[in-house]
Amino acid sequence: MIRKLAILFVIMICVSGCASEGKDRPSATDIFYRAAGAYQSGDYDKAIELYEKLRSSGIESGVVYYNLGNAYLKTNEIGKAILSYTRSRGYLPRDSDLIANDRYAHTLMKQPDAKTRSSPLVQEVLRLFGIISLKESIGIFLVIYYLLAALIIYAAVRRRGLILIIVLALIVTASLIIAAIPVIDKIYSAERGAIIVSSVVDVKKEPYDEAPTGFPIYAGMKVYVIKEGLGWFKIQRPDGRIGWVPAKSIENIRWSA
Amino acid sequence: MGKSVKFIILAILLVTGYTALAEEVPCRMRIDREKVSPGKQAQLEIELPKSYGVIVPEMPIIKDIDIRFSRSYPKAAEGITSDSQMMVFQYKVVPRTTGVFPIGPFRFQSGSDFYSTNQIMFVVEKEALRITPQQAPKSTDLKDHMYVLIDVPKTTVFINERVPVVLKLYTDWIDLENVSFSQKQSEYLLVKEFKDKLVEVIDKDATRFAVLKYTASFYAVTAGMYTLEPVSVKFTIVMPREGADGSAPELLNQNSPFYESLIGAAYSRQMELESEQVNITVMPLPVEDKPKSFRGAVGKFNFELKADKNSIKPMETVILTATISGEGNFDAMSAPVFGDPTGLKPSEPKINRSRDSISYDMPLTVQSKDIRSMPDLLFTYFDPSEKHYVTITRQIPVKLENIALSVKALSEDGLKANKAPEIRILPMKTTIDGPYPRQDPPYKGVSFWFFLIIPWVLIPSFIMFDRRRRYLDNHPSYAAFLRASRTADRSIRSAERSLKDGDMNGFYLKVFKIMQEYIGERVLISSAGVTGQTVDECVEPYVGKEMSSRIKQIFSECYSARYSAAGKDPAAMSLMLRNVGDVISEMNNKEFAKDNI
Repeated sequence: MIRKLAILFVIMICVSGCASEGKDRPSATDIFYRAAGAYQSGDYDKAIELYEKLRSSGIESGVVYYNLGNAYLKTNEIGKAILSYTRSRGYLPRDSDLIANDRYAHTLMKQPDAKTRSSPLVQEVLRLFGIISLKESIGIFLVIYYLLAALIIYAAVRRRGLILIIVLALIVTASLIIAAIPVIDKIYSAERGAIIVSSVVDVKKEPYDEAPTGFPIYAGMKVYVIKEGLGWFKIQRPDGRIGWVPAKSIENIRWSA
Repeated sequence: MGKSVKFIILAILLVTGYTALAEEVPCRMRIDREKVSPGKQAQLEIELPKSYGVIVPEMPIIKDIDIRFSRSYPKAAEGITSDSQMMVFQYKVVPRTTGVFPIGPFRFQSGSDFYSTNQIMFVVEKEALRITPQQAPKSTDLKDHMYVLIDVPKTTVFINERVPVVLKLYTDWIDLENVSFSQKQSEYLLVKEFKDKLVEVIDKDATRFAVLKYTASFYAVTAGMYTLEPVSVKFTIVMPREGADGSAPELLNQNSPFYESLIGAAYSRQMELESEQVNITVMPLPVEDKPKSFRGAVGKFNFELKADKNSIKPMETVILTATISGEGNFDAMSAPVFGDPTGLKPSEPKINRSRDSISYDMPLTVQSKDIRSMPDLLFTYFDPSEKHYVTITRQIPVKLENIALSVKALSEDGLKANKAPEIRILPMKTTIDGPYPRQDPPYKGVSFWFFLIIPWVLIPSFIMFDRRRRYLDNHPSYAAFLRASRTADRSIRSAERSLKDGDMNGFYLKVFKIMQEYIGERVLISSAGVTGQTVDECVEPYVGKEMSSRIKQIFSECYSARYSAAGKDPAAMSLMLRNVGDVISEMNNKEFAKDNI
């Protein structure tokens, strides 16, 4: 009996502790509004601290990333601002404010993003699909994918008008390939993409401090991480140049939208 | 004064005048080789700077050396005038024994002139070791005739320090072709390719060797103990062809049985040699006092800076050319750095590399209106011999123009001078879209892959279904057979229910219909037309008499029970239903002529 009472007592304490903790802890919305207040009063460092706190608590929001990018931009941290805007574009791909501020942040970069080695067709497709999110890209891809599957089934069952079916199948297949390009690009960016956050970084030929420098790289530039280890990232610029940078100088994009 | 006295005076005057007029002319004496073997012939030449009126100089006798006049010929004089000539007298010199013999200086008279020569030392020594076929060793050890040495001046080096390496290929056979090198690559010691061949002839251990020197260099990228891997040298020995006059080919060591055995009648042969490995200790660069501008350059360098224009306005670009020359590792250095890059936008430098220098074309745009002077450009290197860092600072040779005007222009555009540039961005958002808990990206979820896989299940399913449907359309008897089995199974279950419910009439009616419909489907006639005669004519030929009689028995029992079903034993009815099931099951295994399965 005493044992049962003791267990009941412990459970009650735990439940009351959890309840009080939940009551004291501010909600995500509270932190958001506190951060907004700090931003509007010009306390950008405090706003950054609160937005980062919101982010580290597992909250994903395009607006949070947008405001965080603004706060970083106000404190002249171009790299982190561009990183936040890039993450925000995963959620708010067509937000005009975001697009404008992101473009403005890019003009402040000491060196523009390296030109990609992709073909002009791929670049044009990526430009067109730049205003849709990863989820939307995947949706479009799946719709065309199912259209192609339906066409194949129809061709197999119908067995008439084969020329028309073949023409349709070619058109749908081409559409599928085009739809796959932004999906692959966005997945690759989400998995491997990173933004330089230090103002300037010497890209080394080997992963150690004394190694010869291959080329400098500036804050805000987008790169792809191709290898990680021992505090160094092996990165590749969009134009194909490869080198090592300290892990602390870059941050992965990794948005989930 | 007497006649004799006058004669003497005149004679003295004549002799004095003649002597005064006669010249002491230096002339050059040379010999074509300073070392010969006893019995071998050398050629001595005396050049007299006069082409006429000269007689052959008589050579004095020298002990143990025979000197004989060979020929004389005129020759254009060197360095005087183009039309002056000299006379060359050639002598054959043959020593009889070994020793060092001074020849000259000689003094001789030709005409009214006196000539004096220089002195030369004539060395006579035993002939270089020549192995006759009788003396030749049976084993032909390659190292006696050719070998490879690697010459590394330093084995303790700093990171990035470029160390020259000389690979020496010793051979007493000079005609080598297609020399190539291979070496196991090291991740930490980077060796540049061997090139710049230099040939030298030396005498070593009484054998004359040609030394082919190939230079390269290496540098280490991390500190530690490493091994400079052996260098493998591949080449082709080429047998010189005989001269046009049939003379023997010229070899460094003629009559060597080694080559006779090696080559024989052939004219070339592939060979491969390998150098020794060398252990290298690589030390890290000192951390203390390392300037921030250090970018990996190790060696001794000079640094010069030029610009493509003398003055620049804000938002304009100047191209600075930083040239670094000297000795060291040009592969492991970077462009010089700006002392204070605030307000400047440097672009990626273009690198121009030459043998002993490297230059960086560095575009630099002045972006900020606040910048008042151009910063310095710093180049820091580590000097491995002095073991300290050296920083060279160069002022950018460009003046800033129209700063005030530019600032004014910018201030008119809404920016205030002397203040940090304002970040003009669109405002923050005050409403939150969510917030959403962080999720895995969609392509990592199960649903994404599920949606991707579904068509690969649907497509073959649809195709198989369509094929089946088409087959049944084209084979009605097979379709009827399938239909008969399914209908019979369904009807048997219905009859079971009637049995459980105690519906005797319904039970026998259903059993009768089961058999009638099944046989009708199998023989492709209307079920209403199935009679005992139909069973005899259409079913018995395929199922046999016993089965035929069982079918007819079922029909008979059902027929009689339709009129007196009451009082029937449920066990007997159950047995009958089982019998019907067995009959249908056995008939399913029988092939009817019209089935076309």
